[in-house]
Amino acid sequence: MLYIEQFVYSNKLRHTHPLERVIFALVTMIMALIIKDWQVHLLIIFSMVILLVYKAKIKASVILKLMLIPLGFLIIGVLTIAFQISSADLNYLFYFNIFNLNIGITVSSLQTAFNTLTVSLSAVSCLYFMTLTTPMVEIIYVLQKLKVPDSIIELMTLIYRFIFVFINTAFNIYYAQQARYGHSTFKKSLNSFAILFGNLWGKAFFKSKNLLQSLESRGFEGNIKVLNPEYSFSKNNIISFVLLDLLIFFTALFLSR
Amino acid sequence: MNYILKTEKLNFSYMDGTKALKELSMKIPEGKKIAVIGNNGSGKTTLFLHFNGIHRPQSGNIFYRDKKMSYSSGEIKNIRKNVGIVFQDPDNQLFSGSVYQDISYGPVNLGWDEKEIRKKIEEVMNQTGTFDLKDKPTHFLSYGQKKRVAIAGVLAMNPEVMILDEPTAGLDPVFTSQIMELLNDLNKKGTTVIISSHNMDEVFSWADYVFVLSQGEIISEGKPEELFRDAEVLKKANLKKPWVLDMYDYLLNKGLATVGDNIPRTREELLNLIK
Repeated sequence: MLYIEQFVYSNKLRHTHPLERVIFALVTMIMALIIKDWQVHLLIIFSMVILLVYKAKIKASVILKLMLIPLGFLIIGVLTIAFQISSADLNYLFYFNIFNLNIGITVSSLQTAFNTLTVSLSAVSCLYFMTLTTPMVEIIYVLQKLKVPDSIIELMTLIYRFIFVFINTAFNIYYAQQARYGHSTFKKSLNSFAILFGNLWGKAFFKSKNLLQSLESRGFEGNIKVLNPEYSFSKNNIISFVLLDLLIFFTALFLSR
Repeated sequence: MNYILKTEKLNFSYMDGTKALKELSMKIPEGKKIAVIGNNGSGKTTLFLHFNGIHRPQSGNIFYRDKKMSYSSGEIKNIRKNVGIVFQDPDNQLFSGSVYQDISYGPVNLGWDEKEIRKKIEEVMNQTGTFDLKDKPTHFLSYGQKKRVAIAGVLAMNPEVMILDEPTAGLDPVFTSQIMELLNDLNKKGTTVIISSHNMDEVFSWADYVFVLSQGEIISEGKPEELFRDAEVLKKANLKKPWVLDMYDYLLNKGLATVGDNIPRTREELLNLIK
């Protein structure tokens, strides 16, 4: 998560209204999920990568690395779809027999597996487009615009901020322990981690008390209300997003005939 | 002299039994630059938390503009608007991942008009030099930047009294002088500024009036040039004499400096008085 944070705040699409990007990502994702054609999926993945590299100016190597993360899970998942178990003799391309059961790959199972792979990857690419171009604070802002309940918005705001305080505190303790040989052997390391987590627990309580005090002194009355910077829509972005979605739609229409 | 904040025989102890404040009475003159000094654990932060109604005294009274605090919800709201506190650790104060959101929080709570709030945010961002940070996430800021954002968040509420708990602790000299400059500007516009500090040189050159807190009691108060010459107080509160004053007194003794209209409070003023 920290890795993504570095890029999202410096991406070049950031300074327009977050709503246009989030809506575009969601609409495209829905299309990816509805349309069951691998060529469309590849088109979606391709356009998202192009947008990220050329419009948001995020390095291709970063996107590739990020795409490899879900790919690992996907391949394992897809393999289980590709292999069919049956006692009857299906039209296997390849199979082996254990305890009178045929385990193997058929043409249709291979197709389903491949489709699942491309659907997932294209949906993930939409999601990456959103997360890499829209900082969490702006995603929360969009959720607020989409009328998500206030208490969830507040929780998200606070959690997002304090994840970093938490990680920071944890690492500070960890480094301090390391400096005093707290992690020199496995046994010592276990012991040190126990102390670290115990301490974090206490510190979290202490911090939350201090936070409440400082919120109160700025007029906290039970809920957190804030103003967001004024975002402006970019005509160019909206036009290119709409055109892209139309292109994907008509490609799907053309291919389905 | 108008006193904007007054405490009368304030007592407060924490749940573990530590007596943080003992029969503490003090008067904060309006429109002045006030410093509260004393060792760690002497009760400065606890005292500050009383000033805007976060802590309630276990006995004793607090007056804001000669009106006794009654802690009714309407009054508390008013007090918190008028008395702003910048906490020592900015990580305890900044609750949002967005600098802009965080600064907007106080004014939104005050129920101002959106346009007015946006104008105010821009103004305090310029005042505190945080305008360039507005698109940055809070967790990417340095300590000094966080501190300035925290100050901006309180400044945005337009408080009459601005309290800063160790505003310069952990800051480099450039940031420190920028912040002290900012506090001077605020004061010139009529804000009463109260700081706590461990840096006696800073307090001596900046403050109009100084309170010395030791173990929950005010053991001395006065103008810095008088207070810091009281060897007994300095010893009792474990404080160091500011170097400008120390040097000046030494030079006076040796007959190497002239007695000016005022006691020198900065290096430049001291240099002018050396024969």
